[in-house]
Amino acid sequence: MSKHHLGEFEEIVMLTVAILYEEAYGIAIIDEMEERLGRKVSIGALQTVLRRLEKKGYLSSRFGEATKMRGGKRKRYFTLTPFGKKVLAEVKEQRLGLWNAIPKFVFNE
Amino acid sequence: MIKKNYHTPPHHLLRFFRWYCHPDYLEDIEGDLWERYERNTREKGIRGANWRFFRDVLLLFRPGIIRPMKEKSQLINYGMFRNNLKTAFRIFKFEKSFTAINVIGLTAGIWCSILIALWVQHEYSFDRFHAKEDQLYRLLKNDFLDNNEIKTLPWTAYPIADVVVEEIPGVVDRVRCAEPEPLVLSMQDRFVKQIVIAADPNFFEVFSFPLIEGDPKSCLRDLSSIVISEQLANNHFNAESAIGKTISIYEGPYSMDFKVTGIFRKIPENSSMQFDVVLPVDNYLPFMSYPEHWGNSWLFTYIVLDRKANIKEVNDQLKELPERKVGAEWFTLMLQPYADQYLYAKIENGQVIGGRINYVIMFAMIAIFTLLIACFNFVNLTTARSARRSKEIGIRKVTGAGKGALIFQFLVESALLVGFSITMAVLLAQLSMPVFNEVTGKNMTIDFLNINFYKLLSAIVIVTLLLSGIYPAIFLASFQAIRALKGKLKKNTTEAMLRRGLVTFQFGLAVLLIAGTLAVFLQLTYIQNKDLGLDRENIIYVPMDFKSQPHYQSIKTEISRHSGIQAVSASDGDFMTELGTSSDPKWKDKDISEKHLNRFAIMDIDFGLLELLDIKMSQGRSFSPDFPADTSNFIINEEAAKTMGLEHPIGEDLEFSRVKGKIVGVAKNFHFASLHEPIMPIILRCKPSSSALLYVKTRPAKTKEVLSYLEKIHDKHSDVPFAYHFLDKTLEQGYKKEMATQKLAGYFSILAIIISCLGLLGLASYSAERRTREMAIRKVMGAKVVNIVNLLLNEYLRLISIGLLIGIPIAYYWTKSWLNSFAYKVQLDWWVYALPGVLVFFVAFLTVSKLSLKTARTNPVDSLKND
Repeated sequence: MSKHHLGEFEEIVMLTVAILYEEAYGIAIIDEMEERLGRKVSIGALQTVLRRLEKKGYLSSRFGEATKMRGGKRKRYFTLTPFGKKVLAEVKEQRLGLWNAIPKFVFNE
Repeated sequence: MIKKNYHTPPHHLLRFFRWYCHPDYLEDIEGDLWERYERNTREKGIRGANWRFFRDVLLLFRPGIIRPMKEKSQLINYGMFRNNLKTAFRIFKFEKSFTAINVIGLTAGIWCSILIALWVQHEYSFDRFHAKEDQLYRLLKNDFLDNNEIKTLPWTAYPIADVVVEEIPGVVDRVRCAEPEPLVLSMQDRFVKQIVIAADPNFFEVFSFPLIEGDPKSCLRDLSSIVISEQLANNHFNAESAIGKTISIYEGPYSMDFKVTGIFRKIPENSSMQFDVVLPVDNYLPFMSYPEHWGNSWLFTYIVLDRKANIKEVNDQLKELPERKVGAEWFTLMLQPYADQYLYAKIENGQVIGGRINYVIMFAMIAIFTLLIACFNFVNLTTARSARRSKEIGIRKVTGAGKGALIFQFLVESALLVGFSITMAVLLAQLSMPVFNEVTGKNMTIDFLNINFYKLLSAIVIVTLLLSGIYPAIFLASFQAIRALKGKLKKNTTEAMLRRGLVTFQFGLAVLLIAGTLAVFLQLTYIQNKDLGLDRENIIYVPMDFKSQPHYQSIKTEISRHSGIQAVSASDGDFMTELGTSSDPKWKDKDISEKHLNRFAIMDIDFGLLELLDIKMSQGRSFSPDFPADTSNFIINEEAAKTMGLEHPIGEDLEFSRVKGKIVGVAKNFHFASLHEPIMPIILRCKPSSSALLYVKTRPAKTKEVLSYLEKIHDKHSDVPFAYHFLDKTLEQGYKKEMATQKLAGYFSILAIIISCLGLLGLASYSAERRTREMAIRKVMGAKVVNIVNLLLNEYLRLISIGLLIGIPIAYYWTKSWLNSFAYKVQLDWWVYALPGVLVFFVAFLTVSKLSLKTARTNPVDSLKND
């Protein structure tokens, strides 16, 4: 096992944050995941994971500007930290390593 | 589009969310919720949006999102508290002398408060253990004397008690008791002397002296019944039950048999009534002349009132009862609560004016003073050292400490010191208890299981903490951060004033305590050495018993043969305790209207007693065997001559107890009771057969030899155990309580002055230290050591002088009023007040000057080179 373990949902959230780049805030992430994966995610589930990832140092966040929308509340934008990127790359390496280790005939049958 | 702006999420759900959400996450998550809600209202309608909002809010209610439980106050305060403790211990370590002075002072102050509080508690507990305590009263009789004074005595006549119960509404019951007296008892063929009290049969119903065996209602109903103490029963009846056993009591030539009907438990120490044996009082009636007479006062009468009775109304009716019933207008009756008789025994002119309560108050004051002095030390030292801590306070304030947090911090420091001191004090109190008991003559223990003890302790802690902790904490916490950091504390005049005030006050108190102690000491020395009008050195007296009494004459001759003995004589009645009194004696011009009743003490003596005691005659002669008629003659004292109004009493007729005789001599006044009491008129009768007490005057240094000889002779004639007393010791006994008071007050005032000086030392050393640079510069500029010492001394000596000026007049007033409780008081000279002043001044001077000298002698280079 790698010392940086990522859960499946955590991995997806981090990937989505990476996709959205500068625009990754709560609802945008949920929409993106719904669109790409067809997966229903509650705000509670997402926020818990976001905060956990932030606490682990994989994500960082900043507040955006307040607008008239959203009851006047600011958005919190999440971005990957260099450490987060490294962890994601590591996970990807592991996955690829696994894929590569599969004998060719398994899928060719 | 405009419409949607009017839709907001359900308010209560939003509020719920805001309540539980972690404050750091609140804003953006709430924004997300809003955004989603706004979209949902557009896409799914208000109801759908509301429903989804509800679901989202519920799903957000999970551990990662919910705010931690009270995380803020708990976590931070605990951390701060730990920090406070750490700082406190660092300060204690850093400022060792400051800590030591405070701990020693507080420990001593609390220690003496604990001891005194226990003592006061014990004094207050006297006679309060009876179940009917709130209903019990004792009946007092106010006699109106010729000189318009009122003499209040606790004795009343036999018939009065029953009349009181019958006639006065609200009075439920009464018990009459004769005065407890030591009598010889015989049981199982052994003789013992025991304190006997004769009482009405309902004695054990009214008083809560529990019976181990026997019925409190009926145990004294029979005339020949007797109730004895647990100890007596155990000592003399071994394992068998004492009930039904016979006990004989001897009084002079008479003896009477009683049957044991009950056994009572040990009488508590805090009971004024102490006795070993109780028998029915009616047994005494045949021995009394005119017991039915209202003027014949010989019984203590205790009254039980109804709980609803109005004491004032009862007293009003009692006042007029004697006149209404028997036409006696020369005396009235009144009630005093039973439990008050111990502390408020002193009654003058019909008014309760105090008694032991005065000592109780005095000691309570000493305790409070000592504690106050210790607390003032604490306040002074803490505020004086504030400069040292100003940087710490400044930094704390700059980094965000509020006033409250700082106050808390300093209170934690005080609480630690007080807590430590109180632990030490309790330990000390426990260790010193045996000594304390010896001095006070009590048998007290610290009851660690008793809730009251902890109430007392917490009261002391709270008072100490309030007095010593609050002010410095507020004072230190109110420093302005920038000034504190710069080390430029504004010279706070009120604070300096307070410190000066406290030093002044402390030394005022110290002087007060020392002068008070000195006055007590002088008065007691005066009493012990006062010319009593009789010689008390080398005199042994031996109480005779019914077996040896008949052999008095032969014993006397035998004893006289011993070379170590100067003289032998005897008397009936013990003049060291209460003598029997009577108003019966008749002389020439006696005003026989009963209003002018004068009581005379009566004592029967053998030839030679006056010479043995070295009582001088002022007129006439002493009794002598050369005058056979002397057995019906009288000698009176000067006081009696004055009372009778006889200028030349020699040869006057006197009649008493059906004996007519002449007054042959007037003895100079001599003291026979406590010096608290004035000398009473006394009539001496010559009865060579009277032999209750044998007096033996020994030659110096022969005491031991004589005692063994006396015992040998006694044993030849009687099998009652031999007992003897020294006259001087017995007389001292009467002042035992004062002696205890004297010693205690002495110790405590020494303690007070030590604590004061400790505080002064701390304060002075601090100010000397703070001014080292100033002094160094002064020295460089040419100041001499003397100038510098003067400068430092002046600061404190002025304060102390003011303290003395205030303390001495108060001391003067106090000692005067204390001395007024004595009939014979020492004349206090001016030096009694001057000496403590000089003493305190001198000690303070020594304390400060030693320090000043050290500061003044320091090489200025050492103190200046650091700048």
